[in-house]
Amino acid sequence: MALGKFRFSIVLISLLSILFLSGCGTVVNRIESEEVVDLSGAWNDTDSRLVSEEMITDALNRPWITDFRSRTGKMPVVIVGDVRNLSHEHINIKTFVNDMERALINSGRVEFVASSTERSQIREERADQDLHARADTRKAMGQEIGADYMLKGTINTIIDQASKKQVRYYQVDLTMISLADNRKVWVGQKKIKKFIKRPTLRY
Amino acid sequence: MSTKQITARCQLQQTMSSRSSPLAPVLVLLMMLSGCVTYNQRMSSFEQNLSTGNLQPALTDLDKQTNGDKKSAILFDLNRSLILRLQREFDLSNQSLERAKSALQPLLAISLSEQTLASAINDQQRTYLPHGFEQIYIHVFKILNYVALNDLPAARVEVLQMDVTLNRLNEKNPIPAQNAFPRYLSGVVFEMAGEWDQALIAYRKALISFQESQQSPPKFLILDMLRLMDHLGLHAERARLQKRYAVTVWTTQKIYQQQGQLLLLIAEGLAPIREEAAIQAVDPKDGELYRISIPRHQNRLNLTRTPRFQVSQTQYSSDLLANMNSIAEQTLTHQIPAITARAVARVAVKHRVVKESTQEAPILGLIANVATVASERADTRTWASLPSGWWAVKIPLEAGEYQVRPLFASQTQTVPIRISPGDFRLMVYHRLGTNTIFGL
Repeated sequence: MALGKFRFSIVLISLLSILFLSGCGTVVNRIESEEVVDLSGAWNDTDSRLVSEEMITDALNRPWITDFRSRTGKMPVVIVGDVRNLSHEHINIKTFVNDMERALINSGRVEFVASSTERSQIREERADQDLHARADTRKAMGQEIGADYMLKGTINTIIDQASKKQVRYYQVDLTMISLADNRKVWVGQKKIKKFIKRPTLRY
Repeated sequence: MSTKQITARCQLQQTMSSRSSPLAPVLVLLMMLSGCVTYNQRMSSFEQNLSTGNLQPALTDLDKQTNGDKKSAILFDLNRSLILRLQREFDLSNQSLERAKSALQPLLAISLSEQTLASAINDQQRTYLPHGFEQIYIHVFKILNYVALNDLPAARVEVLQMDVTLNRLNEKNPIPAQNAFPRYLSGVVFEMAGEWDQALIAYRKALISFQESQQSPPKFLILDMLRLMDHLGLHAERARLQKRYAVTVWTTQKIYQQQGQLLLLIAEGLAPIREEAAIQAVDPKDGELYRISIPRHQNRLNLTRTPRFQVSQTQYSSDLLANMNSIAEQTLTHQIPAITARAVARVAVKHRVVKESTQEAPILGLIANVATVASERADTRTWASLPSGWWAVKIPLEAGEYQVRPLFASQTQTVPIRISPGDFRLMVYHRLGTNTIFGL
């Protein structure tokens, strides 16, 4: 039969056609911001959220705030210092630091002042007001509040891999250091461990 | 391949498209997928512009090629990243490299569909997965770009990622020579960050790679290791290293930190390319033509002399850190068994197509034979804008102002630099053609 003769060719052409006609369009689905979606195994929004939740709960439940208040009668003022990324990934540290800052400010128990990078712009604006703003709205120089504590920290990773398997271990350490006497009044830590298995085959 | 041959092949492809036999689509598909030219032939204009330093036309060439070849998209990003780097667009260069790095991860899994196509048509049907050493140099260039952007924390992240890549690649078919320079560069980044213990670990790994690849380590690496071992209290290890390399004098860490350091890196020439090597044979019984195409290694422009520099009144010779020609050749040697196996499998598949076509009609068999032979092309894709070698010289300098002048090309400019105590200054020179120098 003619068809029989072409069995091999038909199979081949069908296979090739399937391979080449398999394109698909972009699909976008909106999901909850707290839904866990792990795509590559790299640091993602869920990790950032887990770290900020852990750090916020810990920071608000430790005695450093009440100790300060009972000693001075004021709320502690915190400045965000250097949070170093010593990990294997280009991690945006600002996401969980900002989460933490927001939660601590909104708790009404801690005040934050602008960091060194933020305040240069504010100082420029104040200098500009000196020249251009109406006198009754002008903000004077030298009225800034000095911070009592500096928040510093690091993100470290350990990666172990063999063949297509990988274990990623993240450790985030944050420390609140007294600017008056270098005492460490709070140390927060969050560990995240992931096991990633990459596929050996793909379509 | 001459232009005439290319045109003839393309004309044959057009003729095939008008056939109405059931086999015709298979043959047309074979022809279409084969491409009329190899990758290198398509990239010749880009390479010509690159080697003569015409960066913008080279970038335009790349953009033209990118649209037509999605399977080589990573390669275009890699080439683009180097052009952008030479244009001092370090951020954009890193974006291209990051795009390539992200696209690379899924390709580490074997594609069943692409393997099938490669076994039926040719190896160019596979999405380009950068060779091992090319994957490493994605990190190397990102590190150099971040250092140029003065973003040391990001360079450090890249160093750690490169370590993961190196470890993955060393699991099977390790090529020690490809590790030495990246390991040394990792140590440099750690030294810049003041992480002396990490720097020593990276230098140790670099030294092991030099030893395993039977390449002499640069003297400045040994001096740096002796200094760091002393500083970290590893006196027994220091004594062993000192004895092995017969070094009697080195700088202490205290003096080192009072001085400045100038590291001059030279990315020399253009990496080797792959050419097609084809074997053709005719079956005397039925006249069927068989063809097997595999890539072969082809070196390009190389320096004949060691690059030298003049820093103010003193001249310095550089040391070879990486011979990319040798690394590329070793990489191909590792790949050849699998490439050959696929080529042999293709011969069997194509023979079957020709046989069935001949049974249908002898003329169809002839056309099928031409199509299957024409579609047999070697995969000659490589990251061709990589250098053929990396050289370096590290110079300790007292605080002050200096004039740096490369002595390996006739038209080079003197660059004034200021060195402060504790500075670690990295300057990179790219030499693409005889007199095409970019100092970054």
